[in-house]
Amino acid sequence: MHEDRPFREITLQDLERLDPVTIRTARSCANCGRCGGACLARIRDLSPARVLRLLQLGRLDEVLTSRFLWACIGCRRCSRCCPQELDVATAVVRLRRLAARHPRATFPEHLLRLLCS
Amino acid sequence: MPPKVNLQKCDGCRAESEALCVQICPGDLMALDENNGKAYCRSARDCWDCMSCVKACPNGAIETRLPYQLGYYPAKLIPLVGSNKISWTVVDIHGKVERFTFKNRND
Amino acid sequence: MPPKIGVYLCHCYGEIGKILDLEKLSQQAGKWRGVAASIHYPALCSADGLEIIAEDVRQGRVDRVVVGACSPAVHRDTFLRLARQAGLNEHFLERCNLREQCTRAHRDQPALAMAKARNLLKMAVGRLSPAESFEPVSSSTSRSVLVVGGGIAGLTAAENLARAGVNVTLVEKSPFLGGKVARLHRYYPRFCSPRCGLEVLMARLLATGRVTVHTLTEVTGVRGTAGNFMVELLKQPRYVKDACTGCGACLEVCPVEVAPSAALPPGRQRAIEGPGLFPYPLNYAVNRVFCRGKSCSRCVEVCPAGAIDLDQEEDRLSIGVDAIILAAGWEPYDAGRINNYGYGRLPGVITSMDLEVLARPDGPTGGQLIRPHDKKPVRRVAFIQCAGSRDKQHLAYCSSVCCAATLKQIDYVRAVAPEAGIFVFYMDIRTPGNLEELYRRTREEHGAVFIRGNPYAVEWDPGAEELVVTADDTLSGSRVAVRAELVVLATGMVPCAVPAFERLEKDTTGFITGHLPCSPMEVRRAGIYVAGCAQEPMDVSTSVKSALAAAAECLATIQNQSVVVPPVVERHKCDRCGRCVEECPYGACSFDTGGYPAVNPLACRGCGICQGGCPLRCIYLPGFSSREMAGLIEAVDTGSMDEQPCVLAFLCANDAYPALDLAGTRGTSYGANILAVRVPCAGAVNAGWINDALLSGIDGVLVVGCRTTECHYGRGTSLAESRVNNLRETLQRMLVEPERVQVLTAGIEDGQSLVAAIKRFVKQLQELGPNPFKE
Repeated sequence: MHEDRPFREITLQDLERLDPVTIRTARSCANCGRCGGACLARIRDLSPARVLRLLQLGRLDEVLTSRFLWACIGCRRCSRCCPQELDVATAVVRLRRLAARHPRATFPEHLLRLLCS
Repeated sequence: MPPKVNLQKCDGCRAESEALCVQICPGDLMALDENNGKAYCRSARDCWDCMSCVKACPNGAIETRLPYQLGYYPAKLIPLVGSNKISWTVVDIHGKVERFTFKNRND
Repeated sequence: MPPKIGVYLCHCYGEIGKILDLEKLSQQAGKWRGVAASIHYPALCSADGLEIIAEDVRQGRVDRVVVGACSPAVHRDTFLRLARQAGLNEHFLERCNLREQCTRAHRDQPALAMAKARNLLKMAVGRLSPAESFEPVSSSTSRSVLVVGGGIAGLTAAENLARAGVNVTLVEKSPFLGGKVARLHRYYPRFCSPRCGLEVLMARLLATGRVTVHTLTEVTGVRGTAGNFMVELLKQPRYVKDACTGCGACLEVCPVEVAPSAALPPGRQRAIEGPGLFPYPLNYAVNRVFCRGKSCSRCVEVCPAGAIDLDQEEDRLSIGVDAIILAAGWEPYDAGRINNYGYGRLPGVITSMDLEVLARPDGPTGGQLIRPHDKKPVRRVAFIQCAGSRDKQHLAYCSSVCCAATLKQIDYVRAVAPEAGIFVFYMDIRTPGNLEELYRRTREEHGAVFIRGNPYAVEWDPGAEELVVTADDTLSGSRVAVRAELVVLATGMVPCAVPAFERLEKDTTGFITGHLPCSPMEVRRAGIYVAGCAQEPMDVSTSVKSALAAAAECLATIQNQSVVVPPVVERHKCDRCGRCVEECPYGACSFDTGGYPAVNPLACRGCGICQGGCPLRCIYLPGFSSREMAGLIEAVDTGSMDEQPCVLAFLCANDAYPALDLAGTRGTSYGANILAVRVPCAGAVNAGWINDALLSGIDGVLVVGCRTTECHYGRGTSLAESRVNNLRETLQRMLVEPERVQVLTAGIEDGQSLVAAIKRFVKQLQELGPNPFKE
């Protein structure tokens, strides 16, 4: 079976919703992938590196509905190891704020239960 | 028997002027083939096996077959020319080898 | 008068003296034919030691000197100076390697070392007895240089040479100087206008008063070598005389519009062209490809100066120069050949050179960022890197400048359209050194989106009247599409073909380059230097650097005398076969008026490839005449070490000889019966020497050269191989084992593996038994 994946058009309008720190982090990222290697909370191919790459391609929705944002434990290893001295961890935290308000947010259910009970 | 030219080794002395074998042949029998620029003997019958061309060839491309009166193939007579010496290797029809080295000035 | 040879043996403060019995050796040497004096001394390189030799020479006790001491690779100038001060011809001083290749290598076997030392000394004496003196040849030069190409590299080289007092002839095939750089809008890293830099350069060049410029001129033939090139030039008619004032009236009336490229619409360009923003020369030129000729003649009628003459004809001239700088530059790769990007077929697909034209204020859009064919404003620009580059179907190599050029062009775009979206499709971004900053700035400040993937296709969306670029972004693993009004193909650089120089050796990418890294500017024909993008793809500042380097190397050649003592030709033996002329890697050897080879000392680099191929051994470097080599070879005592085969090894002076020295210095022993002869290149070994060696009873002969790709002189090792193979075939017929003669290769650091190879060879010889010619 051939996977039917269409060409996804790159549009950058969504990024206008981002705050300046996150947008600067995404733009300056040189895609070295070091943060992805350092991340303790990496889920399969989801990592800070992947988040930044998706942002560069304007795919904010995908980022905000990603489970990775909630898996982050805030260890800040990504920020410490970034060769471009970008504050990746802060960008992830800022993205969480947006994600919480996203209609299709994947706020972890066990946390949701905890908070709502 | 006339000289036989190994076409792989002969470079016609680059055909710039007369090849060395052409210059040295006392009977003026050697010539360059116009098609491939390689040397050949143009009148086999007139060759009396002096072997001047064999000695002169810088690439060792010429071989003389011995006349049948002296020995059938594979009998051979091959010179190696040094500055002050020349050596002759004689191989008879049974493959027996003898070598003779003489002093002379060749350069 | 028989020679009076002095044999001087050095103890090297014990390093030689402790292992060899120099007293005995010196006594033995004193009895050899031709030896007039034989002494030993603690250190010959000391002031006292040198004085002993010098005094003997001055007093006339000796007229030739053998120094038995360290390797000839060390203390070179010490003994050269000695020869000069004592009035001894430097070719009458022979070094005998008693340290590196004798006492160091065989320190554990003093008896063998002694026998080897005796052999080496005998060889040195044997070679020196028939030696002749040589004087360095000098040749006068009128000092003039031809620079091919009027781009930034050519102009820079011309300017520097002219300022150094050299007369320069500059030829340019197009009507105007400045080359590709004059067509750029800006150049990195400073983002200034290139016309400013060209202007300064031109002013300084013209101020020297030593330059003759020929535009619309091509080189059609080159003969000769360094110091005396004859160059044929073909000058196309310009149809505009020097009376032209550059008023531009002709441009107004010319009916033929000319498009700047396949993707751009005609702007103000006509069949008669003006010089643009870099006006050298000022007068206009008629492009005969487009001009309708005399049937139109509107420009002729309107010209107030009466400068246009459509009857001009081409002109041929020939000039003599000492050296040539080849700065013929580059052409962009033909983007039309990359089918899936649609250049020339889809509106809005342009090349990076087209974008330079568009960005310029004098371009067809006046520097505005609008799509050239429909004037639609451009909101998004997609750049496609490696358009045809690193692609075996097109250009297999990286042109090194396109990455930075694209980053620069993103700056152009954002300067006139600060909101424009920028998308860059790339395989790798290559921005070495300071250019990384440019890359960072492009990402951060211009928000360019970098998509890692070579686009699959560029298509036209007729509904939206936009271009769509599709690719696979390998970083995110997803297929992406980008809509853009303008797609810029970053095409690579192709060297301009100059038919007159087509025979020069080229690298695998088709560029003409010298020997990297030793002599990168001088190509394999002495006296021709290559600068700028003719050498390899490079940016403007690197072009300028390469032009300066080429000018420096060129100056050294034309100002100086020869680097080496060139070979001599014994005319009475020569039969003018022309092998030396054909095989000389530097074109230093040519026929004189009598048809004999003549060596140009300025062009000769002393490799000796000519002597290696000479069937009559009538061309040779000092020290390598057939008499000297026969003297050396026949002096070898092949019976001195019965248990070991005797090997004569011709070692290339660049790599193999120092490698064997090094092995000895490290104490790596090899057969003590390996007698090394230092030759400039494996290609300098004449088959006659090998005949001599075999006839003298030497059991095996080695020719050791550099690895084929590393040979300093190009083909030395491969020539040696083909010559040896010829000989081996003859040996086979003579029922002499061809394995007795071998060609090996070694790098300068390969002492250990060379020794291992030599040991294998010796073992083979032991199995074969003694040389059948041994009496």
